[in-house]
Amino acid sequence: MKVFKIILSLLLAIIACLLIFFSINALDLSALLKEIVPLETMQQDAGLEKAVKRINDCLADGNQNRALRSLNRLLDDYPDKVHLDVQTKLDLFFYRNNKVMLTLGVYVLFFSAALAVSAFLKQQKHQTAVLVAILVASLYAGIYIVEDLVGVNSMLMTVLKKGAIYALLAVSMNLLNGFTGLFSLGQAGFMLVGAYTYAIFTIENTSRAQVYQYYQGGLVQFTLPTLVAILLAGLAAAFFAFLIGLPVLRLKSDYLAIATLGFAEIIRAVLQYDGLGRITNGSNLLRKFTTFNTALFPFAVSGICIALIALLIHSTYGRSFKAIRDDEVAAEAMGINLFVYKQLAFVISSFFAGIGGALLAMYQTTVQAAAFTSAMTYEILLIVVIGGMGSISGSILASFLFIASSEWWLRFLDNVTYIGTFKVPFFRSGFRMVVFSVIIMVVVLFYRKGIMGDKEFGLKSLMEPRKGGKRRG
Amino acid sequence: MYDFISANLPYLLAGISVGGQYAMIAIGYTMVYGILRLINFAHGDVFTAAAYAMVYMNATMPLYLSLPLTILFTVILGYSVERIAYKPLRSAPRMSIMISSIGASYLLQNLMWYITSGLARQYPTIPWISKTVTIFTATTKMVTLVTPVLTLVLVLLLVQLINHTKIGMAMRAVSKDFETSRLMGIKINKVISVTFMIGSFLAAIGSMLYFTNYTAVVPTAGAMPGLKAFVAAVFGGIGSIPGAVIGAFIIGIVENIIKAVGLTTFSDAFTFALLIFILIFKPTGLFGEVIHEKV
Amino acid sequence: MKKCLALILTVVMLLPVMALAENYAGEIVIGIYEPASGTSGAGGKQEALGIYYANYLAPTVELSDGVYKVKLVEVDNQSSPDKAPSAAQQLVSEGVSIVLGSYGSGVCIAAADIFDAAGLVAIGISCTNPQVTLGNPLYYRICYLDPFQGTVLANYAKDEFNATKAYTLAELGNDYDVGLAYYFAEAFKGLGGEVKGEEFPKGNSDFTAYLTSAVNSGAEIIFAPTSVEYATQIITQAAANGITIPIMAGDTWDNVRILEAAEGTDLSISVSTFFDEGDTGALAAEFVTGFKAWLNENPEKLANNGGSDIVAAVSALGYDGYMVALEALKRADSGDRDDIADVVAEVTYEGVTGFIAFDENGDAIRDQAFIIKTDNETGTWQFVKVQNVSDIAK
Repeated sequence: MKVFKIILSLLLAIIACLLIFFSINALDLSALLKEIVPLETMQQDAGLEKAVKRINDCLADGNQNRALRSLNRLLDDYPDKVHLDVQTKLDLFFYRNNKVMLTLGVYVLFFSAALAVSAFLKQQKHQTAVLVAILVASLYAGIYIVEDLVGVNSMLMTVLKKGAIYALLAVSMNLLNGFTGLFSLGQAGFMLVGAYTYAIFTIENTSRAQVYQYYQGGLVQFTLPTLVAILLAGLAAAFFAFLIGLPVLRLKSDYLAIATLGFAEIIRAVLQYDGLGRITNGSNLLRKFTTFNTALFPFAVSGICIALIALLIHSTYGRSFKAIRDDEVAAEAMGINLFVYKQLAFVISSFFAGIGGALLAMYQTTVQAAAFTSAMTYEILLIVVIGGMGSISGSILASFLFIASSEWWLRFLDNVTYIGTFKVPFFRSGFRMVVFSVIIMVVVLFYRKGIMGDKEFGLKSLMEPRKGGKRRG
Repeated sequence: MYDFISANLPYLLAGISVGGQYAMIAIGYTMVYGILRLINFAHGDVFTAAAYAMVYMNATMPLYLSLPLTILFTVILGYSVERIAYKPLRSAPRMSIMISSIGASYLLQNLMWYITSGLARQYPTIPWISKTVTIFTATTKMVTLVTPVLTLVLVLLLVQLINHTKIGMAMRAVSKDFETSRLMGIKINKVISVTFMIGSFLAAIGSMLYFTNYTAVVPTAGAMPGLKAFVAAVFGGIGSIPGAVIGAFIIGIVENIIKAVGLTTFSDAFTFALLIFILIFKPTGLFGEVIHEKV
Repeated sequence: MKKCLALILTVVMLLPVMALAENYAGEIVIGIYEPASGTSGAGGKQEALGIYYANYLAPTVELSDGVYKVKLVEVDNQSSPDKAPSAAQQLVSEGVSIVLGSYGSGVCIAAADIFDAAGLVAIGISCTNPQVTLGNPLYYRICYLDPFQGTVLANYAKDEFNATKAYTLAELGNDYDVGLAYYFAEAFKGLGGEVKGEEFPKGNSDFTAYLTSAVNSGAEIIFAPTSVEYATQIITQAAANGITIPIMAGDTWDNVRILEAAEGTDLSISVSTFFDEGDTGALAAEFVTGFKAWLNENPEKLANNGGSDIVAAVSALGYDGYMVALEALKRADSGDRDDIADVVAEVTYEGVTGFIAFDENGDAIRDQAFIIKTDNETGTWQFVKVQNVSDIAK
């Protein structure tokens, strides 16, 4: 077994090295172009010459994507004029899929290393850790490869990006509502604080005059690094949560809900207040701040955050939270300081809500206080319920399902559709949301436990029953 | 003095009128909460649905038909919301019912959005109460004067109903102790249904008055008045009908004073600030009874 | 069970990936990015009607390698900047060559970065806020801008009503409202006037307090460049409260709903707009008759126009927007996004709303606005005057 693993890992390592070698050595396109379109063929056809020139121009501009698009058109338009042998085809393949092949190579290398390591590990726990590492690595490699294949702006990537952000938001709300039993409806308010903090501190200095055009260019005149600003967004939300928590956490169930809802509305009004305009730009859009252009970023940030929340829930703190949820009086009798632990859960949940808000702002590329209404909180609450109160993996799964259905799969319901001459009834703008809310009501009424109940979807259910990590599967 | 009055009378009139309309909604909240301990988030949307019902019915039939039919429709809607969204969850934790009410509100809003494409509809003109009148220096619609009077009359009737009829007694019993009254042979479901129907009836009347003043109907039109009415109910002491009415008038008037002094951004936020203040310092509100949480 | 679920999920998530590579052979797709619902829904529909009418007249475009059919794909941005990015995203993934729209500036600003990232040119039709094109190299527009419109209206308020004090009312967080009110206030102050400005929260329906504040502030003009939904409420409540101060607004108020609300009242409502239905120029007159006939053919179209055949300025602009897009396609001689991006700045077109050419920001070089007012007896618009830049300069 051990020998077999080592041989396999060696083989994989060789393949990986080959992949990496070829990708790095992929020919430059203008040289390749000379192979594909010989000079004499080119001179015979003005159109072809123009097309080749266009590709070379794009390369000179450094716009590789556009060059590739133009190349595709050339290959489509002049299939009989181009000269393609196996060697050029292979070179072309590696040129086109340069990044993907490189990623694949690195991933396979990582995999073989993990395999080799696991061959020398005796303890089951360590082996599982290696397995988790491989799963996570393959998830991220997979996202990277898919992104490169379908393009950053495709609907799939949009759903994945937004889904990852909502996963964090749902898990952070679940920490409060599902694990600690505090029914808070302030999520949108904390997201708003996070989103604004992030946006205000990362708007490019050169654009500030434009963005704050009604407020003399604004008060903040420096830019923070992205990650620092995200952290600050979380801290700002946590700080607000701390202040709000002092009075409201003494309230019970629905009073707490309505009080936190009220605070979210107050935060929204304050951030729209004209008097703070030099900081918040009044009620107007904030834009031109640093955003991400790859799905890996939200996946990485919310992945780390969710992992932290999972660790917290499995610690003694997490057990105290659950004790409070199950029976406050008993928990207090066991020596748990109710107020301190509730405050802790509230602040931590808001911290991650703030980070989620910052990510959402990055995703939207513009941010405006008016959008952070209680409807947004309800949406996230419904995700938590669909996934199952008290299940992290449920929340994650439900987020992706929720976003994919509302943004993508159910979109066809919004379009007036004809099958032949038959007009499909009910299909028009708004129908999607009706169907969607009916589905939600069905879940709320008849599948009260949601997808996962309070179980987790871990390695345990995939493999033989053993302790496993909590990661999205 | 004369200048001061003529400058500020319109604010006061608007405040009283909108306060009366909040009161109509607030009663629905407070009665449901008194009995089920449930914040019925869908109540504001029932209020909006009443307005749409009026818009559509008035397009096809005369006013003497559309008015009662609108009220009937709203009562049935309120009843069905309870039947579909709350009854199956009677034994579930309170949080589940509340989530269900949020879901019901979401569904109603989306449904109304779908039917109307989210475009504003003009509310039909109801004669007489739409007439313009002049009081001292201020010009306003008749509805501004009618609202407080009608509100008081309806509340008095309702209080009579609760204090002097059998169903009223059952309601009081259920809100005092849900389990015991069930054991005593009170038909809980019937009481709850009647409560929702009364709440919806008042919401329908409130919606007629409200939208005669503010004539554009959009799917989310009821959300804010609904929340404010809820705050009014908490302010007055949840479960107490006179409390809800007084709370509603206070909120309506203060909201307009805030607008008058120029802090318009905070006119909605103020309501919530008031709510939080009340919850923290006097959770039982002005007239509420102390509810002991049993262990 | 769970394994099954996971498997199904993966498959379902991956299926559409394969369907993504859809191609419109012999077709060029133009995206319509307009609100069909929400607070600007009524205006968005009218604008889209103009585009569809133009497509009806010019359904194809001739490039050097043949005639292409032009297909229109419409998405609804729901008038809301937070719903807009995913609508924009949908257009991008539908593979459109160029985008037209939108009505309302906030949704354009919210979508600009997404179009930009996809290398997609967007031609704004009636979004007048400067921020739409500022810093967004691929966003162009064919209408005038708010600084211009604000100045025109401020001058009109001064000249026509001898106003020295104005009250502005805008919706919180609506870029169009806030922007136009700001530019109006700046221009009005520049003319020696005084301005009191207030904003109301989204979803507000009680305007009595605001109107009272306007009266109490001693304003001689109320400037309320809001969406149509709020506008009708402002008008009815102003009428109910016996307001006699003239009301003014920007291009959004050029809508049938305003006429309906104002009919039978004593209010004076003046509005600046892009196009006048009574324009006697050959192009404009031809458009107006043709468009009316086209509308009256089909009850659904008539309903989308607000139930009457009054030609809204945004429909005329929508028509011009489509024609400009066709010009851009012809000049680029391809449906490729990058090719179009290279040439669109050079496009010029003689449209029904006037001559269109872009400046270095991507804004149309426009020098005139029309001012119209409501005729409360007949429920129609009355043409008042054309205001030129040169008139203002003096």
